Amino acid sequence: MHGIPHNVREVEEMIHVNWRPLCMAWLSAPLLALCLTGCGDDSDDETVIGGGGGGGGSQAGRCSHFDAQRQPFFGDLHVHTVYSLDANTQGTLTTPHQAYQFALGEELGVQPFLEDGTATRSTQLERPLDFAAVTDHAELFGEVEICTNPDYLEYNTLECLFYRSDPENSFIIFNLVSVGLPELPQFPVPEGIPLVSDLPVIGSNGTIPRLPFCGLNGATCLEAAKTPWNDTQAAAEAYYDRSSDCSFTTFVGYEYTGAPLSNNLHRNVIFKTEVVPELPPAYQEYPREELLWATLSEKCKTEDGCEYLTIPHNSNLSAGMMFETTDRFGNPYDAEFAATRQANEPLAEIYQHKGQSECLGTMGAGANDELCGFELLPYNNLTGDRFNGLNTGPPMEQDFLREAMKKGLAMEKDLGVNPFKYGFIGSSDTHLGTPGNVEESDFPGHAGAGENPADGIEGLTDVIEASPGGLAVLWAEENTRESLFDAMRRREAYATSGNRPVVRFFGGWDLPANACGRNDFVELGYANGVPMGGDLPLQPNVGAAPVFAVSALRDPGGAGIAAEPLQRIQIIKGWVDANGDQQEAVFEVAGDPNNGASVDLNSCATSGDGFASLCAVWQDPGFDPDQHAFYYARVVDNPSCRWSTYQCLAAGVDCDAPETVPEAMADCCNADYPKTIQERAWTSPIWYRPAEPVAEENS
Amino acid sequence: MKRLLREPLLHFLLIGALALLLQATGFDLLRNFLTPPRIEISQADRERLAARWLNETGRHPTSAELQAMLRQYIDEELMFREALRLGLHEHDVVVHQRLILNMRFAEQTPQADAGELLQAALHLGMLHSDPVVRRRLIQRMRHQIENQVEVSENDARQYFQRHRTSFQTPERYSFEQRFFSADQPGALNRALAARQTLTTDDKAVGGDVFLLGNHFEHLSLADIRRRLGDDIAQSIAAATPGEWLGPVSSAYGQHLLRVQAVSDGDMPDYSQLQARVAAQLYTERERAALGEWLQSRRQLYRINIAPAQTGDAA
Repeated sequence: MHGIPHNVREVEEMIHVNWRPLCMAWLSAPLLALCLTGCGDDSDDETVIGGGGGGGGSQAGRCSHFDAQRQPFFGDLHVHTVYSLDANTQGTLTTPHQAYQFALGEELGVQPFLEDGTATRSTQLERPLDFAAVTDHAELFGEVEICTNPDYLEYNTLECLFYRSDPENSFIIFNLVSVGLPELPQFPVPEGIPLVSDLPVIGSNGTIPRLPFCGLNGATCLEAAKTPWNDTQAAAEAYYDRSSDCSFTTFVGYEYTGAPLSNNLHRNVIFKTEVVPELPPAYQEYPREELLWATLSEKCKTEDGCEYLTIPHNSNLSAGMMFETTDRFGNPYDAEFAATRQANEPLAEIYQHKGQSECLGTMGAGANDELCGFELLPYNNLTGDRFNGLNTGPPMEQDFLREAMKKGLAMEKDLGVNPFKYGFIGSSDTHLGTPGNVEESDFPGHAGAGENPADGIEGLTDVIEASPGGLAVLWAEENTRESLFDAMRRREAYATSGNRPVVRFFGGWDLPANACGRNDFVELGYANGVPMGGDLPLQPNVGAAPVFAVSALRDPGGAGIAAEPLQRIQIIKGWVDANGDQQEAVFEVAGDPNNGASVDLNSCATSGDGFASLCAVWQDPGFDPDQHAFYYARVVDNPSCRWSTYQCLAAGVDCDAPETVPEAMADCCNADYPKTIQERAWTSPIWYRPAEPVAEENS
Repeated sequence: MKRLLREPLLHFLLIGALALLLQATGFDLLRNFLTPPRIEISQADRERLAARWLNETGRHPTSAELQAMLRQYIDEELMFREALRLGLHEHDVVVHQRLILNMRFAEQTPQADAGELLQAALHLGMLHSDPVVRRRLIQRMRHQIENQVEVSENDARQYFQRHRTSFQTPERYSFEQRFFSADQPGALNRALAARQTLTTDDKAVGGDVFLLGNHFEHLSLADIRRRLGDDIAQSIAAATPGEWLGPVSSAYGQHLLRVQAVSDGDMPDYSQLQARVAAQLYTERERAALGEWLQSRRQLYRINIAPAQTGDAA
């Protein structure tokens, strides 16, 4: 029965705001029926394409490794390849196919190739990933070409007619269609077109099309030419293991690259199945997130077998825009808009190549939390240090998730719905087509966004403030698209800064104090509580305070992998107090922050004791049942060398003799950046919401 | 009549008609014979490529590596030039948007008409100088070449037969453990003692709690390595099913292990792998098609590579 309470709560929220399309588009299979009933819609068809829907965890799945208690799968949902022209102009020629091969652990040959066809360089992942999604910038796919080239079948669709009549203003017209007139079909469905099947279609002339399906209705299936979007889909299909081994999962995805004035509103769009829109809605046509959600909900419908979610990233670089509390017209959020946001965006990237977005460590509440100084970028948008800081400013507290989620609690108090209810993942955001390549000791740079130092001079492989990025971990029954996607939806996910600890986090009212010593820790967690990402049930009796159980295993490391033991676990609480003020506190719950672990900066050798595992059961001492709150765990490793320190050491930089340090290595001696880091994991929060006050006018 | 034949206008018209005829009938060879297009690789190009290598790898390229870079650069130049010749930029939205964006940025005229800005950008030769436009056109040219490739059902089946072994899946192991945490005192001694007991009564030994549990189902050696480390994976690979072994140490402590079942690697059948097989065969054929195309284009262009100067490659 685990997982049900908080989902029911969400269903109630949705019904409460009475926004039917949301119901239709947004619930996982087992809840669809509930929702349909709640929405009073026809419930004659709950067909779920793509095999069962999973989610409930009660019945066995299709994989031989199925585990009803769920297992952690490590992956990367933010990967750029040759189709991101910003990566490509810096020499990245990795295709989506090759990116998936790399994620599987195969050696990736890097251009240029010698006469005999062998690559001059190669790179390989020490530890393959369980899942990955190639997410190139849709804005550079050029798919709008389909509207301008009469050879394409879609040339005569309504959308294309609009586009050609007034390309400059087409997004306004599109918006009118998708927002103002939601019933108008965007792509008329031709008669007799079969729906998508799992296996590739054989063309009329006996050839296998590159893309074995095409778009929602398969209309252009047999014509599928090699375009970036088609190739992205074909690669995801080719490398998704549909056998009972379930060894690797891919997702079709892309990046929606909206950045007005370089203020980052980027989102990765991840699709649950192979059924995806014919054209990926891009920023040119849909220049705000609500327009993106509106068009996706039109073009990617659950009843067609299409489901999606959007994952914002680098809120730290949005100059205050990512978590604005108004819509694009400046109107404050209402319950419906808040529900739309929550339904579309269950996850956010808390860490990646361009720093962390957890908390600002230089001002505001986060200044009291010394671990907020971790990988903090010193500016507030994508312009960065270019143009002498002309178009940028210092980082802003409201761009960080902890602050935004507290704001979300305050809004939930007013509106009844929390718009900023995010679970956490980490990503690489690689622009080399190398998912999961996040080891500090071997950071090849990023390409694309990272600027390399002056041409031809040996130097750091990236700007000093950047970092290799992190990983996404999903707790799922099995390694399939359905199971992983459902984990993302219920936020049973955590982020890591690149290391691979295993972290469980449960919250409930009667988790036993001795849970850590029990072999049934996990069963107890699900039976007596909710996992990370969930909502605490209502307070069972007056005076009860919630209990949280968190347990972690260190990264086991391995040959060629530097991994440190654990140092400590913290629980971070955010809440809104009786005066309506937003508060936060950090609690040390396990381990030892002063364990004396240290790093020899002359060799990067580490010393000092740590913990192979840590576990704690913690009860909130300051719990007030009338106050909205969230709780998440931060699991911190012993310190180790930062990527730049490895490189400075290898280059023999001596900061005591500044005249000997080459200019391209000058940042080795930049005191603004630490020499060591503490790798860490951030669990998705568990939320508490007070009981609804008894309605005053009960009609 | 003579007067008419000497009329410059007539000459002009005749030459024009001839040119049109040549263009219309697509006499590439003749055109190239008369005015072969040229690709010049200068010393500056060499130095730029070598510098880029140094930047990415931290060392100077060898002569073979520099040659490989030059060849790649020429290949891309051929694709770029042919894309322009075929007019692939004329209907390309990415190219248009990029050029318009550049002009807006350069002229600071957000309100200017997009069409005029595009014309101005073309007039300024931006088509040739913008790196994103260049990448986009190379990509489009490449896709145009690759789109001619086809893979039949029959080809895919034959390819699968030829490469069967590469699709073999790894062996999978199911095993149980008793775990003795390194965070508790005396893990090794406790494990050694437990090992004795286990041989007579395996219910009598509990061991410490392990977050991932004590039963592992259907994992490949790579999975085991990622979850429990190299040593455990190696021990499992060498284990005799049904017998306890260990203690084996990991980053977590000491493990007593018993393999319960080993399932042989599987040979999936073609129907399960059709998409991957087709994708691989497409990739192979596309590479070949691109190679042939590049070969034919190299004949059409006059490629001059400046001779290497001393100290060029370390």
